[in-house]
Amino acid sequence: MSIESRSAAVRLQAVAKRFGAVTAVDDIDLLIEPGTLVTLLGPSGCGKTTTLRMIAGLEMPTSGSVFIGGKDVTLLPPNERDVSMVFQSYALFPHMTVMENVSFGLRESNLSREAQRAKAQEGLALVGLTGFDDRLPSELSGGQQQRVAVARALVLEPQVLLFDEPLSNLDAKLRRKMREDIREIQLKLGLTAVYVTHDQEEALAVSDKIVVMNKGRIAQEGTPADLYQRPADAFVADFIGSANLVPGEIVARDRKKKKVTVGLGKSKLVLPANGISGDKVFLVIRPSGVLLDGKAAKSDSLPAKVARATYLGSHWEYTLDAAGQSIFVIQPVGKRFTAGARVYMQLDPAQLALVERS
Amino acid sequence: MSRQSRHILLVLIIAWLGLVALPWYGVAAGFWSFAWLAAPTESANASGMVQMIAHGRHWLWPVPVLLALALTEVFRSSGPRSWVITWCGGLALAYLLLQGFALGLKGWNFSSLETLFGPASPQIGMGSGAFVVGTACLLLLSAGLALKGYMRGDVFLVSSIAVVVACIGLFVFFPVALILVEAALTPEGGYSLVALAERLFSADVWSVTWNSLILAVAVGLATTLLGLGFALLHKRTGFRAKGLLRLLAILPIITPPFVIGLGIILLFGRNGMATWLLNEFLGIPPSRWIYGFFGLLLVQTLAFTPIAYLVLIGVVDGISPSMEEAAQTLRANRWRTFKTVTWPLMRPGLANAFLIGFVESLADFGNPLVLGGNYDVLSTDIFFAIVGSQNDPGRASALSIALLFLTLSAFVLQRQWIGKKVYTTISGKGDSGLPAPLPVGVKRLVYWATMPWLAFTILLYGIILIGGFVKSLGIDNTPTLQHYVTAFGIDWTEHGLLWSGRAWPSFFTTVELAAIAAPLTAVIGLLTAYLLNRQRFIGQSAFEFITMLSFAIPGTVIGVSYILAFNVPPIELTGTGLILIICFVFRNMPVSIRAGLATMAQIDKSLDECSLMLRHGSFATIRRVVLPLLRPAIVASLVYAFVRAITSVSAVIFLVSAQYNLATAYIVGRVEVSDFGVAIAYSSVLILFMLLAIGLIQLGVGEQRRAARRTAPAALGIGRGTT
Ligand SMILES: Nc1ncnc2c1ncn2[C@@H]1O[C@H](COP(=O)(O)OP(=O)(O)O)[C@@H](O)[C@H]1O
Ligand SMILES: [Mg+2]
Repeated sequence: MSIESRSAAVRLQAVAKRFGAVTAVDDIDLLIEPGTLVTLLGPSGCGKTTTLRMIAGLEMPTSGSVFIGGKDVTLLPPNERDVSMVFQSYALFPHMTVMENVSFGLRESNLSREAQRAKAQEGLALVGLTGFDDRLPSELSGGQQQRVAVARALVLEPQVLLFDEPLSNLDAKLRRKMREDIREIQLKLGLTAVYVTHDQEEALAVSDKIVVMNKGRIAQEGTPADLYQRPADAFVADFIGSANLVPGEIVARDRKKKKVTVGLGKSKLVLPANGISGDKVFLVIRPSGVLLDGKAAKSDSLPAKVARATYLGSHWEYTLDAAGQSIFVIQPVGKRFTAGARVYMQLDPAQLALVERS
Repeated sequence: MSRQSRHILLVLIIAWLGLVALPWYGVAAGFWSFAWLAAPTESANASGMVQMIAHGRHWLWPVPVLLALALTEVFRSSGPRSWVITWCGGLALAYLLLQGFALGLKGWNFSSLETLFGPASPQIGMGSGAFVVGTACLLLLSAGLALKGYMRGDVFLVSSIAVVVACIGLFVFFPVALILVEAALTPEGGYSLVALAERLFSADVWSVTWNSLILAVAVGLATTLLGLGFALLHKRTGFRAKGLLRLLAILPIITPPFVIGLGIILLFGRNGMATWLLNEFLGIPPSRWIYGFFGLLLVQTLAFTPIAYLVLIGVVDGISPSMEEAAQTLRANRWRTFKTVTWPLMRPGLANAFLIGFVESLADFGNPLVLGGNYDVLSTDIFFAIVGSQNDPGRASALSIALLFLTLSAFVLQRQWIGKKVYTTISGKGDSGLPAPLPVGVKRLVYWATMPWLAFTILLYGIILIGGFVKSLGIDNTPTLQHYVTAFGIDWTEHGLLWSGRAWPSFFTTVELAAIAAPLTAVIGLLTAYLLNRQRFIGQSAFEFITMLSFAIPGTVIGVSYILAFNVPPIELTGTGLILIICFVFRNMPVSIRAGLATMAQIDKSLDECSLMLRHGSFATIRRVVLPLLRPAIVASLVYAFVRAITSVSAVIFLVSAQYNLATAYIVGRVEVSDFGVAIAYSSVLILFMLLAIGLIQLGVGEQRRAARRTAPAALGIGRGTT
């Protein structure tokens, strides 16, 4: 017996959820392709958990429909949907052993006792917890509890696997290991997974697709590279990769509207238009997309003053003051500037983007 | 066939069985005698179907018609339609109730209906058949609503809500509402508002109400002050014998309410020991001063101080020592610290304790019964208005309304005004630091107030224990076992063991009924707690309010209302054991709800949700996840329900019968004829029995706890906050 995947697509159609006066989720349309891992990313309170819980069936949408594998499941209770979920608190049953926890979901199935056991063993092996059958959750470390929770969800062979901030209760080192393991299992079994997190690094590391949410709406969706290189708005740019947003103006456009020229103080930059129609923009400068130099090299390098310098072993972090604008950059060790020094910034065009400023 | 259709089919099969196979009306010999099986088609024993066909009860026909309609719906190819099932169940249920109330012992209950429909044969109270059909109709209605998508289509949840609401409606709301109606009854048999007003504002009702009110205020004040004294003694002084205080706190739970009154009579009655001493050495002639206001004040203060102590211990605990330390670093001396920091923090808790003492005094029945003398209070006056020569249900109702008004006002005040404040002051809990010592004056006062009281309580219980072993305490102090033999004698005869003691029948009845009621109480209480804590549904806040309201209804009022409600068809229960069980269940349910709510608040909600995600329906979730984690609350509810059922007097004294007499009622009867020896012996046995029962259960739970210690640390509240 082995754990198979029966992954299916998830589709949210104009789904909204209101709690009294609070609109937690506001008219979301979303398609999750079978066999992919999609992350819901956003600041706390933006409606990620609520969205996930509506896919799970733990919340009923105020309006709109949820489809799993092409079937409308909007009105079905959780136990009749083919999904399982890993909770933020793991929600391991404290009065049951690891084995009982993992086989819990199989007890309502038609499998024989032995088959249930075998399957649960399989699940535990998959997360590397063979031999822990008779432990109680209280006798496991945080990481092990997390693995039990994953195994318990996996053995049901759900069409969709849901994760609600599964790593938030682990320490930083374990978090990196666990997220790799989760991704590996997901890829190996070809599962459809929806993964909620507020940690952009985690999202970039594990996702096929990221859905950035803000105030109950989808701000942007796309691959990690899409989001990093072509953020749709200031919110996404800031949330992913902590960008510097420098206000500027579009002073000219080329005839095909592919490129625009942005005025930034005295200097000018030519950048891809990115479909921007207005003239007021933010220039998105990634902290790693700036090269500092002691003297002006080329014509388009910008002068700045070092406000603060912090040494972090592997790299330097500088806070610069450029024409009254505070800019945060990361530099490799080697060159060194002290606070108060005059420097020149050279921008890497590949790591620049424009977003509209309203 | 879908799961839902199968469920509906099952419910319908049960309904049809109830309609065809069980006696429709109550059978005289009792259902469990199965005497009705001997002549199943006779008018008295016949099932609903036979009643319609053979005994001329045509008005029942709509019920089978609706049930047949629902049955055809189940076999529809596209599955049953929700609205048909809902209406079939709802209409059948409504019709059942309607015909029950319209047709009574003498045919039509309302003459206008008789002129409309012509004469009809009389009917007596509903029996097992009608009960089964009614329940099935309720479940059918629930299934229909679930089909509609109510509670996400979870039949178990909808049915639970329906059953709990129906139970509370039928056994709390309906009887209490009837009191209002009864108070408006005119001597001619009609109902009028004038009669209601006349009764409510009669001078005699007012004077009794005043008596009760004054006594309750005095008792509230006294218990609060003494309770505070004990709480301070426990928490803020070096007092050593804290185990004694703990014992003091459980005693009132296991002591039948009138026992303290008995002890007082043995001390201060005309033949009491103290009376004799006073007469002998100080020349104070014996008098009846103890029967009346002062006696009641003394007894109720003794009886309810432990409750105030339990409430106030939390309050004293909740005052964070660091706050007091802060005050002291600001150069306040001890007295100023107490006055400006400690005291204001305690004030809401004190008000709470006062209200509890107030309500307890109002609701107390046993002590006024044995000690009231000429000082009439509401609870006993209600009793005498019903059972005495007066037999005036209208007056009893008016008095009940007055009593209910007082207790409900206190309850509303407590919830509205104090409930919140108490919580905010207790939020400082968990602070470390040593509590500031009491100022010397206060400390001295605490010792002087509590020590004599403690000694007095111990003396009373001592007297009660000893009193059973002497001929007649105070008059003839020769030691004897006579009382115990009279009450609990066991003889060996050639036929085997003979339970010859006079107390045995009531003792066995009490234990049996209490043992039946306890698990029912726990089930209904915990189910209600689950619905309140874990589910969201329409009308939930109203539901919560009504269940909480039943906390505030005094036992006497429940007793009267049960007599008014369940003495006549359609629900005729007086004189049965069932009515006692029902009374126990709904009197003690609030405590079970509280225990359930408190424990459930500690169990992370995501455990339920997780189980739901793991393919378990709500019923399986309750069975496999919630119940095992709820074990402490279950045990607490069981113990409490059992013990309270054994010690309660106020409500059940209206409901006991020759066949079903209860221990407390029996003892009260003995006291009334001044047979103190047996009364005391019986009371002592009850107290010991309950101590033993509690001890055994605690021991059992303790064992389990040790065995399950590995589970314990993680057992409750794994929940970390979710974002
Ligand atoms: N059961 C609920 N009742 C009322 N408001 C809720 C409930 N659940 C979530 N909310 C509100 O909905 C919003 C989104 O919550 P949530 O989905 O938990 O956010 P996230 O998981 O992104 O942090 C928040 O403002 C939250 O306060
Ligand atoms: Mg969340």
